[in-house]
Amino acid sequence: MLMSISFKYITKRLRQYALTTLVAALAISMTIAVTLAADSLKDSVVYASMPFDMIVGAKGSAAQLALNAVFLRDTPVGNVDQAVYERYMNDGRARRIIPLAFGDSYRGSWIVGSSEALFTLRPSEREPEIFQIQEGRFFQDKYELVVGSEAARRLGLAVGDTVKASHGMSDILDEELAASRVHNNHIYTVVGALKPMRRPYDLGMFASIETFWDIHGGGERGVSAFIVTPWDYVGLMSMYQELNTGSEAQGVFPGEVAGDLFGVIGRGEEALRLVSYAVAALGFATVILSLYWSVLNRRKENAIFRALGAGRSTLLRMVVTESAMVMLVSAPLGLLFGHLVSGFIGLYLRRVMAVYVPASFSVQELYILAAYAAIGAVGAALPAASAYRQDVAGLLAGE
Amino acid sequence: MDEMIRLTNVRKVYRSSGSGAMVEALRVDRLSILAGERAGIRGRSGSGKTTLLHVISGILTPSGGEVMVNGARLDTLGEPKRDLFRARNVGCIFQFFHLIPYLTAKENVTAAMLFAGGAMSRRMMGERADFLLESVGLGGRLHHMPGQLSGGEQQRVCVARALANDPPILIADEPTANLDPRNKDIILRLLYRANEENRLTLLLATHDRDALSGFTRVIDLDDMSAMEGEAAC
Repeated sequence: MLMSISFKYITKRLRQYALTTLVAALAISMTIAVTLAADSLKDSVVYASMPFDMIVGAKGSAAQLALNAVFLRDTPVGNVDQAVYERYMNDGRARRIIPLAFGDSYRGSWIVGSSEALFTLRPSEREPEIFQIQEGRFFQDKYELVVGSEAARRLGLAVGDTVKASHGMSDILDEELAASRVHNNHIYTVVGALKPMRRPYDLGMFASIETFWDIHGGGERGVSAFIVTPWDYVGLMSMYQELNTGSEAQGVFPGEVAGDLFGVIGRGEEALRLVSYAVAALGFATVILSLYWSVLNRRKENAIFRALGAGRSTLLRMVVTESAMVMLVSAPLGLLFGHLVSGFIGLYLRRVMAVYVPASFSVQELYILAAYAAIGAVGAALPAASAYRQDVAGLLAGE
Repeated sequence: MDEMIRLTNVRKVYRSSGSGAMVEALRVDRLSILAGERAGIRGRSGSGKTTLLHVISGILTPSGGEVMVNGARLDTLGEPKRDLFRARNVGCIFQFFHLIPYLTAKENVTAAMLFAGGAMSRRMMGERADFLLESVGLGGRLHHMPGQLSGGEQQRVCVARALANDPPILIADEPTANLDPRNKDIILRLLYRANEENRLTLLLATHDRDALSGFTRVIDLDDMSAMEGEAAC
């Protein structure tokens, strides 16, 4: 019955409570969206890095090399000498050595030169290859192109189509610049379309490395980077130390680079999290203020309840019930908004980087909701106490 | 008859919000009201009629003196116990009705039963509210909101609400001041009936001398002289 009184009061002031509920829901959603997006981004970057045990590239920025090889982003670093590549290819310490050549693109999608070994790339030996053919076949000859699922979708490419690659990484919108850099004499033919990998390579297009050497003069061979899949950890570490103490190239563990990046991003994430907490605190303050105003607005009614014999606990229960009703509606709404915002962030990342942010439910969401419920309950006690302290006799004297 | 209310040397003093000086709102050296008595309280504005009713119902505590109501020393009870005492022992009727505007007539009556902490089920509360509202002639207005009722009807809901917990004491503060003569008569007859049929102790404070014509005793707070057995006309 008490609940029914509270419910009737809320129904009477539906607009005010709807607004309060909305503010509370937005406060929850902000906190949840930031938490989810940060966690999901980490998971997706780790997921994207999994097939790449070690990347070897020219000396320089490790982060840039990892961005090139794993995410097909940033300006390509310089080439590694062909001799270095061949030495590692032949020394038997690696299960697989996969060359990568960057530098050309087609309407914003990177064209990656590699060998057939690329199609054996897998997150671990127990898992299947990440490259699976949807239509057509893998490249076998020069100027044959295999396109990633997202690249094919965006560029409208299908098996049998032909494309003229541009030198450099022209933006898809910068048609004029792209046109000026087209390798007019070299036309690729699409021979295969890949199944979605849910990785940044979905945005890529793949051709034989011989095609790259052919386009870029033929005489000078070299690779932009190569992926190393070791037989074992000892072999991996020996190659890593050897590379990084020498002067010819650098070895990079993408997972480690991602960790370093998160260290940098983490500070921004921390700031964002603090902002989201501040927004949440403002939301909670709004809820408490709204309840407080609600108590002030019906001082008279509370005085009547007091005159009828309603005690402290009864008034407290009524206000807490109202707070709980606001929470019961705002919590699922906040969860929904939070997941929607996080989903939009995921879509954006997918569009820009083909990084797949998994839609998941985080246990932290429960902590956020529990904290919100606790603050709501404690916050409700304040107006309830004020309701009890009011001058009943004075309020009953008025009309 | 047993003594239902006894006040001894009761004073209520307020600090004036304007000057900050102490103002005596009520002084009662001795007052005794018997169970089932029908007592009217009159006095000029500011004589302490409402304060006296609030002290007897436990809404206010006296600044000094003893307040004994239905065997309980109200002046020594803490607020929670006074709240529960009031819910179970005192039915209140006010000049301005004081119904909860977002509850129906029936819900207003049922709400009073909630605070008495009894073992009544929701269904029993509903049935009692129906019975009480029918007994005050509002059987057809159970689900009307206060705003849909006339002043007289609202005051009848208040009477039903005051009787909800079957209290031994009914206090009414200017219950007819806002009513036309016909509705005034209806309300007074309902109060007399409750006093006679349920043996309730009825205390009614009013400016209206006519309203006190049916009372066996009138307490004049201006001189605190109790006029036994006559109407104060």
